[in-house]
Amino acid sequence: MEHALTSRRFLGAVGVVVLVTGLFAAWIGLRIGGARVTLWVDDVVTPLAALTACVLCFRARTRHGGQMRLFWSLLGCATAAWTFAEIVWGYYALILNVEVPVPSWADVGYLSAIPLAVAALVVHPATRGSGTRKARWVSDSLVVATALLFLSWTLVLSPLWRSADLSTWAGIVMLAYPFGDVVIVFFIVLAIRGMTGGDRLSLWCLLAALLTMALSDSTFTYVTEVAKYTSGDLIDTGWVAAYLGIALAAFSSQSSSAAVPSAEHSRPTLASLISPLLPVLLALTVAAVEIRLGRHLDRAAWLMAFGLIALVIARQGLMVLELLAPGRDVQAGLMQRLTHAALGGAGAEEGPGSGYQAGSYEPL
Amino acid sequence: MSPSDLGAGQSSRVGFMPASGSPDVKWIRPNTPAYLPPPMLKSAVQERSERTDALIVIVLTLASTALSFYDLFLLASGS
Repeated sequence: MEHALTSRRFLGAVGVVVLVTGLFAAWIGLRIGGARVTLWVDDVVTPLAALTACVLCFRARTRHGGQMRLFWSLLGCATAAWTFAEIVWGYYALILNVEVPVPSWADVGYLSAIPLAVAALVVHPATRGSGTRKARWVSDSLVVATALLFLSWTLVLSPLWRSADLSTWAGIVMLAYPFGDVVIVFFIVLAIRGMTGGDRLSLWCLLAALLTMALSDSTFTYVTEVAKYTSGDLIDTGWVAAYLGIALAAFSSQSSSAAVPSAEHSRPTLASLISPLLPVLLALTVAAVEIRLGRHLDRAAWLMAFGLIALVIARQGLMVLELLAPGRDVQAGLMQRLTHAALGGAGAEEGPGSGYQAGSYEPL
Repeated sequence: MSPSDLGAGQSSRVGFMPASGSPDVKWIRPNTPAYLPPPMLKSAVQERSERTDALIVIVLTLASTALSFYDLFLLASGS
């Protein structure tokens, strides 16, 4: 009964988020009421969404203890920094009626939010590797980091690196955004990799929100670089969706404060097994397409691509060795053995204390 | 005449039958099997889902390995 009520509450909150984001996108896309009204809607709704996330994060903090309390505190501080940045942005755009300068106090807010969000993800139990999984955790982290860096370098950073004047603050600030996004996405992948069946929807909401934020940031940097961006653009929907996604995660954390540890819940999910493979596949596909299209890979991209290939082949080799290891998991099913091999040691049958488990912490 | 009386002796034709020891009428649709097949055991469902998951992991692992070798070939051939 309680579960049904909390599910209904969660679905209601999802409905509100979807409705607000949809209305916002429609308003910005159709420019209802003209350019000035659209600008007002954009620069008022965005800080309000960030403020909502901030308030709900600090409210979620009061419901948790230990590590999760620290997690929500750090995320609350990150959303506070984003709120500050959005208010400053709105002040420039609506009150002073000028183009927002780079760098400005808004950049201080946006950029200080990145290490705070990263710190929040670092303290979350899902991103931790421990025990027998440690070695594979390190190798998977290297693979994912290289893949993400290659993708960001090829699609966003390289053109920026060539055009930005790194002797000025503006140039450094412009480059700091995509670098920060790579770090955030990296920790998102690690968090998904460490997830088990016991994790709640709220963690997915949070990770999706941060991913949307990182993609919006990188897209913003890219379109700014090619000088097309104006405040009141459709990209702003990404930020509103991201803030509301964080708010949704914080809101729904209330319903899952009591985790029920069970064998099913401590088992790694399919998402945790394939999460390192997806950025790798994307990066390798982009590399192949770039080379086949005859585009020149610069020295940095070439080194990253080569490093990625070496790391992937080494990882798969280790996985095959684990699968073929004699006298191990003879009675285990295919999935159990794959889980064992993919996560490097403790997998589906891990006992308490070895790595991340649903019952070992208070989930979101 | 009660609904139970209506059902007496002709439940297979008219589509309902009386419940034994109870005045309630139990409705059944005509031409439906008397017994539904038992639900699939949970372990079988889990097994099937685990097999699908394993297949996805294997396919993605093989795809990334194949792509790695293809990219290595492209890089080595100096394309």
